[in-house]
Amino acid sequence: MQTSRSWRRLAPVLLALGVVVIIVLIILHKSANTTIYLAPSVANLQLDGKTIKPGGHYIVPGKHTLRATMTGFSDGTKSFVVPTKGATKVFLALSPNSVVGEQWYANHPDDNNLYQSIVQNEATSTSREQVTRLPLIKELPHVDNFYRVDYGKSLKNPNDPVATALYITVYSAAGKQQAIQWLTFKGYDPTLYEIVYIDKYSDGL
Amino acid sequence: MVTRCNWAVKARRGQAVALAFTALFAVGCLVTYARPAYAQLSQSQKDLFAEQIHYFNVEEDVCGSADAPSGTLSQNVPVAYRDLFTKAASAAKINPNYLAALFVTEHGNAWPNPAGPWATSPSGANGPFQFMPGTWDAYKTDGDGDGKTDVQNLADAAFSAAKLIVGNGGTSSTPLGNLTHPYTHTPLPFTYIAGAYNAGGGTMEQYTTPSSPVDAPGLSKETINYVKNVYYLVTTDFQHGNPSYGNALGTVIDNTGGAAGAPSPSGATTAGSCGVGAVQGSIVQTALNLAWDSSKPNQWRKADAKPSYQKTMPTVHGTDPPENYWSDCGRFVATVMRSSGVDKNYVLATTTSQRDYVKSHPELYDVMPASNTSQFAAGDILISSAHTYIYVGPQPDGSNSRSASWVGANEEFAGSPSSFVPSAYNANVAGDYIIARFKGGV
Repeated sequence: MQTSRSWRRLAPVLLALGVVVIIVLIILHKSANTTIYLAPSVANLQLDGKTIKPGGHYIVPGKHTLRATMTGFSDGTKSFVVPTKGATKVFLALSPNSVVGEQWYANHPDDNNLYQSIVQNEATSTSREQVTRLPLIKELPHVDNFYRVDYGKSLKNPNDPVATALYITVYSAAGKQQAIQWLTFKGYDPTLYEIVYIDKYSDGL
Repeated sequence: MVTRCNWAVKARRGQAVALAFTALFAVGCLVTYARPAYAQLSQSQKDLFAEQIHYFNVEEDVCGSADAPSGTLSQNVPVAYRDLFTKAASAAKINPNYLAALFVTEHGNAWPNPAGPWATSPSGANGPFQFMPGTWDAYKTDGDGDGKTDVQNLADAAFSAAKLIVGNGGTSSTPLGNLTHPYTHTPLPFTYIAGAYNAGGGTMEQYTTPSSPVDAPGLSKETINYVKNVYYLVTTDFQHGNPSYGNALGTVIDNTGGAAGAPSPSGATTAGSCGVGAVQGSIVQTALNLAWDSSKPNQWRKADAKPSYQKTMPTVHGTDPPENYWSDCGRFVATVMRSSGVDKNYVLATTTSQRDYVKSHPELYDVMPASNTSQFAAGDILISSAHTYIYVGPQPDGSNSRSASWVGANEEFAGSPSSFVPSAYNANVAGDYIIARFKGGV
C-alpha cells in the first residue's frame, strides 16, 4: 500500500523531470550546419587537429582548419569560417602526386568526379579573383614594339594561387622604361606590384 | 579523200568524246577537291553544314571564302606579291591593300626583290615586314606550311603581319581613315593601326585621342610620316606615298615573279593557308565558335550552352550526354579538338588522362610547364591535373581563353557561380598547369 502510494506521488514528478530532460536535450541538440566534401572520401581528415569523417557536422561558428592526408596524394589544408547562421559547404580535394594516387582516382570514379569538380570550380574562382584584384589582366597581354606585359605565377607568394605577378619582357634598352610608363599611364603604380622582368635584349635576341 | 574525211570526222568525234570525259573528270575532281572531308562527316555534322552553322575545320577555316575581306588588291602591287598578300589578308580577313601599304612603307616606297635579303634596322626590326622581336614572338605565323616560323621568310612574315593588323584592331570592315583625325576609335581606322604598327599600340594609346591631328604631340616624326605615307599609298592606288618618303614605286625589282632564287609566294601561301598555322587557327576559331563570348556563371545545363555547342558536343560525346557534362572543361576541349578535325583522337575525358595523352604524343604536341602568359600562343591547351582550357588570345571583351567548369557528379556545385557551360575565361596558371601546343601530324 505504502509503495503504491509513494509511486503515485513520484510518477508525476518523474514524468515532469523526463519532459524537462527531453526539452533540454532538444535545446542542446544542434543540427549539422556544415557539410564537408572530401576527395578522396577515405583520406585521413582532421578538423582543428581532431579526426572526423566527411559529411554533415555541427561546427561551432568561427574560423577552422581542415587537414587531409593520404598516401599517393599531396597533403591538403583548407581554412574556412562557419557563420553564426546558415549552412556552409566546405570542399577539399587532394591532388595525386604519384602514379598510386592517379590510379586510385581512376579506380574510384565518384571520388574522381568530385575531385574534378572541386578543382575546376577553384580554378574558376581563382581566375575571377585575380581579375578582381588586378583588372589590368583584362588588357593583357599588351604587346608593344620594345616590350610586352603579361601576367603569371607569383614568385614571392608561390603558395597563394590568387597572387599574380606582372611579367614584362624587354626587347630593347628602352623597353623597361616604356613598359613602366605604360603601366603608369594605365593608372597602376608599378611599385605596388610584383614585376618579373624577362630580359631578351641583353640576351642578344 | 572520202576515207580521209571519215577518219577526220571520226577523229574529231573521238576528240570531242575525250574532251567531254576530261571535262567530266575535271568537274568531278573539283567537286571532290572542294569538299574532301564532307563525305567523312557523320550525319549530325552534315546537318550542321546544312543549317549553315559555321563548323570549323581546316578547309573551311582558312581555305574557304565565307568571309571575304573587303577590298581587292591594287593592280599596281607587283605580281610577285599579289597572290601572297591576297591570301595572307584573306586568312586574317583584312583588306589586302593595307598589308601591301605597310610592306612597301617599310621598304621606303620601293618594291624589293621577294627573294630578299632583308635589312635589320638599328632598333632590331628585321625581315620583310620589319618585325621587332617581341611583336614577332606574339604574332608569328607559319605562312608557308613548312612547320616553322621564320621572320626572314616572306610568307611567314606576311601572314604574321596580317595577324598583327588584326591584333591592333583591324577587321574586314576597317576604314582607311583620314589625315584630319586619323586616330579616331569608333571605328578604328587603318591610319591608327598603321601608327601602332610603327610605334606600338602603347604609344598610340598614350599620345593620341580620337580628336588628335595626324601630328599629335608625343608621336615621333617617323610615325607621323609613316601614317601619312600609308594613307597616300592607299588613296593613290599605290601611285605615290608621302612626299617625304622616297618613291621608287614604279621601279619594281621583279614584276614577273620569275627572279632567280625568288620564293614562290603563290605556292607557299597555298600550303600555308591550309597547313599547321591554319590548324592552330581552327582550334581558336572552333573554341570561339562553340563557347559564349561572355561568362555564364551558374549556367551549366544543355539549355544554357551556345546552340552551336548543343549541336556539336553530342557528335563527339554521344547522343544525350548527362546534364552535367555540358559544363565539363575536359569534354569541351575534347569537343574542340575533335570537331575541328585537328586531333580526332584527343582523349574525351578526364583532364588527367588528357594530360597523359598530350605528354605521351610528342610527335603531335609540344609540352612545357606554364608560368606566365608570355609563353602562350593562341590555340594552346592548358592542362592541370583537374582543369583545362583553351587560350584564344586577347578578345574584345577582355577575356583571353575559353573554358567550362564542371557542376560535379552530384550537382554539388549547381548553385555555385563557378559552374558554367563553355564561355569566356581569363587564363590562370596557378597550380601545376602545362601548355600543350599542337604541332600537326594528324
